[in-house]
Amino acid sequence: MTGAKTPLPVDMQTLWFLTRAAGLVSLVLLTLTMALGICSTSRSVGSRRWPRFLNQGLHRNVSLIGLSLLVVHIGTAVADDYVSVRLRDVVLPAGGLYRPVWLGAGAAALDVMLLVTLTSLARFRLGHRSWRMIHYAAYAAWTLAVVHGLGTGSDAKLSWALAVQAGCVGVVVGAVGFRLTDGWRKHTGWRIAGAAGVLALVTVVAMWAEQGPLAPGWSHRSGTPAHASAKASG
Amino acid sequence: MRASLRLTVDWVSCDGQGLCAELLPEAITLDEWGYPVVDSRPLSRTLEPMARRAVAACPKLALILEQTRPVG
Repeated sequence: MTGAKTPLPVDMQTLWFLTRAAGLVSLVLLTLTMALGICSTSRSVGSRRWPRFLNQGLHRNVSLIGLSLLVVHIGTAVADDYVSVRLRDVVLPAGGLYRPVWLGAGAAALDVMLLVTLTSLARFRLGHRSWRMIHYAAYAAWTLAVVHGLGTGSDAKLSWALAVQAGCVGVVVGAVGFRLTDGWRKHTGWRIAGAAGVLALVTVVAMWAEQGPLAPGWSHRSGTPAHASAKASG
Repeated sequence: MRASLRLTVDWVSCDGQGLCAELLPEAITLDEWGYPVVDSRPLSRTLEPMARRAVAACPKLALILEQTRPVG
């Protein structure tokens, strides 16, 4: 056969479907991880019926479940040979063959997530200050993951998938809003700067999404190999 | 003689988050400002797993589980 491959029958696309599903579900779990982590720093969250160690334990365990699903997401993406994701593309944020910039955002998100996870496992060796500084990078990892999902996600434009992604952004923005207003008056400057930063970032990502992934022709502009276009857009 | 277990608090790091008292009420209570009051007696071995959890849960890494070998 020459030229463009015809899309595979549905039963042979299992891996590709798994990649997409695991990606979206891991975004939901990592969003939950973010929200739990952001809220668990607050003293006002705990009560007799919902003690604070519960928040913390959920934060730690949901993050590990999310990372396990990420292993499925990445493993199936590499194993699936319809779009070429090589092992190097898993960790190197540039030079991919499929929507390289946005695949790279996913690789960068993974790198930062691994850094955040490994330093948390070594928290006692590292000390609280260094651990905490590194842990702030989770915000960057999560943001990169959202951009990666919009930029590479074959389902990103579906209305229900868009609702899930918007919901994820809403949950994290809401948690940050709570965090920034909880215990107001201490570190006021940092709080205002944080709020301004979040608003600016959400605006930039929303504008990019509107002009990019949600506008027609994204599949071509983002660098989808011709043979995969039929499937990726379907 | 077996080493005995003792919980101590690094008071420079502790800022009274209170997770330790939630996890180990048998040995840790909170004072009126939310700072831990640790039972000074050696910890019973049956509480060791929960004590380790409390140590791991401290957001400030301020709770320390010490093994002390009695002198003599």
